Amino acid sequence: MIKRTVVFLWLLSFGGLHAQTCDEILNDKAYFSYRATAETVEAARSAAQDFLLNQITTTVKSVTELKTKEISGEVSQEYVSTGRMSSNLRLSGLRHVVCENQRRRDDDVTVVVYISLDDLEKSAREVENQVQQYLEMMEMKKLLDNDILTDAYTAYLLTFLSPMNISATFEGNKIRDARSFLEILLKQHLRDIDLSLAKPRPGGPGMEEQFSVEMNVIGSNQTDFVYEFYSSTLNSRAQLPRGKGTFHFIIQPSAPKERYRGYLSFSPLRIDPNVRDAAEANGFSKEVSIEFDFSDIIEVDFNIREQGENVIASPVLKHLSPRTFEWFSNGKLISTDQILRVPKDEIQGSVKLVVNGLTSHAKEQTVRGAPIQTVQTDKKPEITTEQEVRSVSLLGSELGKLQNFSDLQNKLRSFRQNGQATWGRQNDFVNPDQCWVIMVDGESQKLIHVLTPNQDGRKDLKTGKVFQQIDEQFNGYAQIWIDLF
Amino acid sequence: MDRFILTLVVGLFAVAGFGQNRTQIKLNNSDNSAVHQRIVRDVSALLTACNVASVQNKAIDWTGIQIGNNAKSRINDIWSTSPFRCIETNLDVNLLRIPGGKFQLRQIPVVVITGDARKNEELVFNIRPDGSIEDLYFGLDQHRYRHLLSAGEGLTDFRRRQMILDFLENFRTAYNRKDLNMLEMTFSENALIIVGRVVQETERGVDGMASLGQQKVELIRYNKQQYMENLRRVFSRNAFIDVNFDDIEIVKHGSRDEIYGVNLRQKWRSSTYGDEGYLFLMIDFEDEEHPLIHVRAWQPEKETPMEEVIELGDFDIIK
Repeated sequence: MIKRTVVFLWLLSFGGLHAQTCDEILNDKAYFSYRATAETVEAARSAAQDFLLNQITTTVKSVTELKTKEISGEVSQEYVSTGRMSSNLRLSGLRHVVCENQRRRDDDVTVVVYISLDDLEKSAREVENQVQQYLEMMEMKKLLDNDILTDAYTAYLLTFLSPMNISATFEGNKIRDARSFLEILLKQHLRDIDLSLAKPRPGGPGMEEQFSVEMNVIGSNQTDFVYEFYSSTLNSRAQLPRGKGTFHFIIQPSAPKERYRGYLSFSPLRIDPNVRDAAEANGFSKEVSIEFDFSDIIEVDFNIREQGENVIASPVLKHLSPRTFEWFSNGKLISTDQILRVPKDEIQGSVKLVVNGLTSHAKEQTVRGAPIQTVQTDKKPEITTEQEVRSVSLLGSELGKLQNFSDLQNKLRSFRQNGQATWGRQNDFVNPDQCWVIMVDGESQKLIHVLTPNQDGRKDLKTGKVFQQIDEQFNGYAQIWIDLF
Repeated sequence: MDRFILTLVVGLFAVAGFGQNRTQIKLNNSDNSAVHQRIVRDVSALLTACNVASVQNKAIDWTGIQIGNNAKSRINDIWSTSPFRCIETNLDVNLLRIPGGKFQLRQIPVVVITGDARKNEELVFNIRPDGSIEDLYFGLDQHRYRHLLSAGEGLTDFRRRQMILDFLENFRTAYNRKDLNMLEMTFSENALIIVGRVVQETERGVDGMASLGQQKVELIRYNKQQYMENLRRVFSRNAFIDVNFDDIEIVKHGSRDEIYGVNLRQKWRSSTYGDEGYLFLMIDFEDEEHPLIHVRAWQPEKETPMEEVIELGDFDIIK
């Protein structure tokens, strides 16, 4: 009953105020207004309000990025700004009126949402006052040698709540556009910072492709900031609270030093609840280039044996994805095959293996004088064919990077077009141990486990764990068995 | 050249011989406005007058210094117990803005003379929007001051912390001024005042001999009137009182934004007595222009374990 009375009174009071019709408001230059029609008053009001806010704030949100370009060794940086619509304004005096005479159909209603230019101005001044207080606080902190960037960030976000550009005063200087001023201040911080990396650490046995590296933001002493590094190539991100953190990634390096690009961004550890929405839409990021140093962990070796009249050598590699093989004997190139198979009399003193042209990591073994082990066996060599290497290190690791089922579908289509894979249920395969197994959560469509073929267990590229068998612990997940070849 | 040497010799003599040096301040962030010029002129003139008066052991000569009677009276009160001089001739300082459109100058190094002791302090000048000197305090440690301010979360907390620190500096200097009025106005009428007193508990051993016993702290409760009467007696029998605050911690009440708890270590030194203790103040900023102390608790440092130090969480607040 109380609720009804309140609603009734509200309508009465609104009726009392309703001196102007919808058309009059729409045509009145003293108002910003927008009209929308929907099945309910609330839906029409909401739509009209969204349109109105977007009309007021076409350029309110901007995402600014400092991009680094490298052309012919020249490094250049530029800011890229993209505008987006917003409806996070702080407006006082926003009103709406239901246009009874605007009905198009019996069940439609038209609503005009409007705000007077005076109220718009007042709203801007309210935000301006708050921004000014932040600038005064920054000024005070700066004079006391205290950090000001967190407050600058908050003040910057506050400007997005204003329907108009706001001016301010800082250090006695009149600033025409407070947002631009604060943006420059924050961009300067972005320009001044960079990332430094320790050497990557590989995971333990069975997780050799998983690396972690300690990251430090240099050029910053911000204790109130959380930085983030994101690399789309490595499909990984790291939170760096107070400028420090660990970046985890999966890779099989092909060179001692590998360079990747990523984005470094920052935001305050604590965000004022009033500007949280604006914070989600407005960020600062900078493209950075990082170099991983794998030189200490790459290992190149080979097994060598006699088989009849031939000498056979097969590479044993650790933390290195092979592209090329070069076998030398006594300084002479004798083979570029992955598996060395040459008559004994071609070997002069020693055999040297160079992988990917990396002479710094070449392996040489003396063979004359020390008898080569003679083995008569059909045992599969550790690395057999180029095709198999590619399957495991490239095609398989591509599966490991996928996040959801639709990504997997696209990837499998691509594999099929290239004749690289077939898939089905476990029973569809004669030797399912040689298959990759993907576990998909039916509800979220996420890929939960990506399990390698079974070689003393299956390694999960998602978690790094090794599973000895597919048992009840995987119940509830859809299983996709894939043979990569 | 001879004139230059003569000037230099006279200058050195004036500084080293009598200490009656001029102190000229320069504002790092001056906009050369009339207000800023007035601040530079009056503060420099006052510091120079203090330098002269401290050496001559006289009252401050206010000639040529434009200052209100109230401010003059307060500074004279400080001067009567704690005269000081600034030995710097040129000082570069930052002019800070504080709430109410006022300004503040901090970190002005002075030597304070209390009794036979010399002590380094830093002056704080509060200045009105028109550039006139409003008040002068002995400041808190600048490093701590910066740290406490930077711990503020957002605009309101920063402002409150600024006010608390300003209040503490004023509160501390009130003892130098023997300013009973300010202290009386600062305590709420129903203020709870707790003072820890060390009592010696002696126990009789089995052989009837008294053992060393244990020192315990008995907490005695006073009301505002009793406390102010005690303070009046202390002020009258001491030529000077010097109070120092260290290790300040500021805590905002969990549910009442206007209530703050301040814990600090207080060093009290006067002509007749000295002690060190933990001081807790519960300050109410409901009226931001006139913050009130609802609780003042002092406990002797040596005999009070850290876990027994009174803090904001020990009180239920009913308003």
